[in-house]
Amino acid sequence: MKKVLIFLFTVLLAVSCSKSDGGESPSSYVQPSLVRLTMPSEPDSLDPYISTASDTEAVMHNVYEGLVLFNEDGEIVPGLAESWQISDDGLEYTFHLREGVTFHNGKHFCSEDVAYSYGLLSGLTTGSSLSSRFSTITEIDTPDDYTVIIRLASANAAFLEATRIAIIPSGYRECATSPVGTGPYKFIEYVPGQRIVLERNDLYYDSSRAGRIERAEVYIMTDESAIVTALQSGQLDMAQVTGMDAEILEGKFTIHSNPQNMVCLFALNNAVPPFNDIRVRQAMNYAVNKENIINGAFDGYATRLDSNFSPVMGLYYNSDVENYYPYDPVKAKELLAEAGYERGFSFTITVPANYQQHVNTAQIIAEDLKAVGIDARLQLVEWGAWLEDVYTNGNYETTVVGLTGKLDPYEILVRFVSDYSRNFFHYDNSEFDRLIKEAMVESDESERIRLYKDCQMILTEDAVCVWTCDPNLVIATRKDLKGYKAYPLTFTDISSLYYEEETS
Amino acid sequence: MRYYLRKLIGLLITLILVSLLTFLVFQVLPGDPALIILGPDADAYQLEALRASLNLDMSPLMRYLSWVRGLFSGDLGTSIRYGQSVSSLIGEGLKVTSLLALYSMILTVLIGIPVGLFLASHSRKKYSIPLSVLSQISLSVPSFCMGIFLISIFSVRLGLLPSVGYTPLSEGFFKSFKSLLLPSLSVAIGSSAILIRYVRVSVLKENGRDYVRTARSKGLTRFRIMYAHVLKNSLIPVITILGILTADILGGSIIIENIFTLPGIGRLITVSISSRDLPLIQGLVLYLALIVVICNFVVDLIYSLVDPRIRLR
Amino acid sequence: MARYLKNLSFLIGVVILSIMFAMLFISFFHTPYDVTAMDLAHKLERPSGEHLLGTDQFGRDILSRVMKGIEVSFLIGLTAVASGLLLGLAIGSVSGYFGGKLDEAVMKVIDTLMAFPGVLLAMMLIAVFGNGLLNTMTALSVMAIPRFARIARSGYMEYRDSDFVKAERIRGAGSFRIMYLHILPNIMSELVATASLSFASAIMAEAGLSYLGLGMQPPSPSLGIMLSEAQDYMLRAPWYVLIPTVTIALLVIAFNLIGDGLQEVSGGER
Repeated sequence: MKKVLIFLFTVLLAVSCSKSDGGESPSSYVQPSLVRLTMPSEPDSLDPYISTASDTEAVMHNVYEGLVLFNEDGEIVPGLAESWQISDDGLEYTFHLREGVTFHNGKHFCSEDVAYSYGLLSGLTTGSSLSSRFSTITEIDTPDDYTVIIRLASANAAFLEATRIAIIPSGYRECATSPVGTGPYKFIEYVPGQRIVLERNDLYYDSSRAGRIERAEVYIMTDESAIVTALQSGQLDMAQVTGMDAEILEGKFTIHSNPQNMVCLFALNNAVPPFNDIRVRQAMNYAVNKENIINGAFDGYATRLDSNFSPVMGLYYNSDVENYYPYDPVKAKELLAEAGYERGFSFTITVPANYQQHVNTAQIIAEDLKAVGIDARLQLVEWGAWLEDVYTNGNYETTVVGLTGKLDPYEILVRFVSDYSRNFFHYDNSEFDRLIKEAMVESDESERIRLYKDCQMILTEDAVCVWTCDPNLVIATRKDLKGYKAYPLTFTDISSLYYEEETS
Repeated sequence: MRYYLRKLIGLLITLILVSLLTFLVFQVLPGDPALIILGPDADAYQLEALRASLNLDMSPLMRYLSWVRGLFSGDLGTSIRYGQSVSSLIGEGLKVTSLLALYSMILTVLIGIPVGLFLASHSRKKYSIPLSVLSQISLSVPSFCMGIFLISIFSVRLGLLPSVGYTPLSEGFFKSFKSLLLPSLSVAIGSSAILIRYVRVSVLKENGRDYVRTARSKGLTRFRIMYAHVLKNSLIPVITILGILTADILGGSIIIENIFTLPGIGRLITVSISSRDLPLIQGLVLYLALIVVICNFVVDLIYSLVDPRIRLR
Repeated sequence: MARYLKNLSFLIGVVILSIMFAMLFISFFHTPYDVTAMDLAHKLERPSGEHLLGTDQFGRDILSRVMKGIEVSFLIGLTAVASGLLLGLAIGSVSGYFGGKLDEAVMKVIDTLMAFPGVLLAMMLIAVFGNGLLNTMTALSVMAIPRFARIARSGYMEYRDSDFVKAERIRGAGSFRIMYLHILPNIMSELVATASLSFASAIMAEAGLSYLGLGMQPPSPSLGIMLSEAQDYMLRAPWYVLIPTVTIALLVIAFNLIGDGLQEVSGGER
């Protein structure tokens, strides 16, 4: 009996290992009309009005489209609205919609869909708003099938950027299970824990943005080494990898490395001693060697930051903050002595354990601080506990974390406004609050830019945090997979991808 | 019959204890499921909307009680994280994990018992040294190292077997078997080494018993003694350990499922804990408790078959 | 003792363990480098004269970290196994020897414990008491109990009706005497085998907990932390992951060999 089993097993092994079964083996690439890629976490929700996770948006933005879109430079470009006007007081937005657009379920797109979508978002039709960005809408008007007028209670310079949110078909309620949008790819299936499958929308209205590859399979993969081996064995065509892995994959794969508009920082609780003393915070800024962090935790694939803005933000970025606090342990010691801590002190860095790069950053910081006589202990906590204790309740001394980028400066900087509910830095500066509020209602672009630049400088001068870097988004693609585009927001643009015929 | 009834009642008590314990743990752990799902970018309105849609605005005790009520009508509730019914999620996960467990156990037994017997009967011969060295190594290398080692050979170097994902049985047996071969091998290498130890130890012990000497002095062949007497008597510890191993694998090998990106029970466990998905973890814990209890029960049953001296009471 | 030293398995095990102990002992007084000192210019270097076992992702000396790591592993492994063995034996022996209602009640609790995912159990303990060395040890001890209890129970079930036990009973020996003087030696070999295996799983579980951020906290050098950190560099720096793996493997093998040796020698006596 045993021998029979062993024999059977050997046969099974032999058959399943042989390449000839079905003519397909994992190492030979499948037909070029398919692209297989990854997303690093389970989607939070497929419903665009519930979802906030950038990983989910990166994929679903191929399915859903908004009134406006953004291009590779982060500039707002026409989407479902061909053009728009904003009234001088900044309270009335008139959108002229594109004609001849169909949803994936066959419905023709017109102003009633916009009215339905914004009705849900603002809560005008349901009674409760779905997002603070749309809670200020007071009226939605549809004078004709292709015009929509939206009125706001108060001017908000960030509103136009917010209109990139998805438009869904009027009356449609199933977006959480079967998403319907107007994008270049349509949703096929979502298997929890496994994958999201998209297929090309052959009826897409704009040929310059239409997809070329027929089908996209997005695998939910959290383990970095699993991603690398899957790339190497030809089971993936494209994936986000770490800097370290990029060096291994280089040669066999094309590596794209771009800043991703993320802000990694060593946050100090400005309300607790000794971090309520600006001299201590400045000392920390002098004592931490950011180059060490970029090399040690990000393998050099990162851009140094000195305020809460990535250089990717272009016009809004204030380059004056650069190297405001150079690495200078001597100066740090002087400042500590001045603040009465010549013998140093000890404190805890609370780090979310699931982000190895943050854990590594914290270890490097602790080592740097040891050199100026400060004793930093690490405490690793689960992400869920971090969100509650540190982020929501602000109950911590220091932490290391990364904040994902936004296209609008207001949404990035509002975190530091004193009465913002998630100001976990406990930063309180009335001058900063005033400037932010001014910028929000300022309609003049160049004036707004000046205000935001001033805000960045204030943050740096006050040494609210030790900003470390903007880690690059490193993407490995198959050599013959071309057309990869990097955006200043997490968006995996599938429509631009195509396979190049091998010439050899 | 009374025996089975008592077992059943015992089982129910275990399940209630386990579920209550889980509930209490989740009350102590910090973390808000809605915030974990949406992450730091969510604003108050979005959180409120999600909480309402997930019934998270009910008090925890009320949610637990309504879950218990649902349980009696066979409804395990809806997962917070996935928004799907818990029973269908566990059912899907179980398809993968049970196949993984099946293949792993077959491999474990196929490797473990022959090698263990061989080592026991040739305890002082030269083949036994390399074999025991091998089994020592496979026992002491962490399963994730073993998994990555197998991937680097069979997937990356040779390109023979896939390293990620699971192909369902519906797409053909061979494809499905192929997708689970490396993970089951990674499990089996470690667990067969455990089995080898137990087989060897208990056979050696049994060999020292009087009846074996008697049998030998009666002139029975070594082979006959081994298979007719010793093997049967040394099965008890072996069955115990097989039961524990099966329960372990069916409980979901978190690390193995992570490395091979298998959507099984182990993966559900990790997700449900980290996202504070109380209905899902409750369902999973019930499932796990059930598996362990069933495995123990089967083990007890086999005991009484193998060794009639141990009666079911 | 001399009889034991003639046994090859036992001898090899003792030699490996002695080397480990020596490293542990030296690490109390001296390590080649500071275990947390970083040198990012020399990260992930291959083993060389400068760094005998190479450097890690921060340029820390791996040899120094392994030396300190053995200390942590010993502490955790031995505590978990010792307390698991003692408590498990106490529970399993009473349960298996006396049987009946008591057995059922005890096994219910053990089943509950075993049915509870270990990770969840550890998370509970750590959520309530906070993380750190002591709590990691407590969690791992609790996780080790059921296995010993079940093995002990099946042993006691097997022997409680055997002839020599009956004979002892007739001679008027007390239950305690029978359980621990007469039955225990017979099942000791299985318990020792389980103990050596549990030592391995305790070390691996420590790695798992550290991986979840629930065990030891970096930068303290536990083999578990080293292993989970090295995992990210498996392809780039294979020797880095190999060193904690081999160290753990050697520790485990040493314990296994000693266990085997003990069994062989005591088995030969009969």
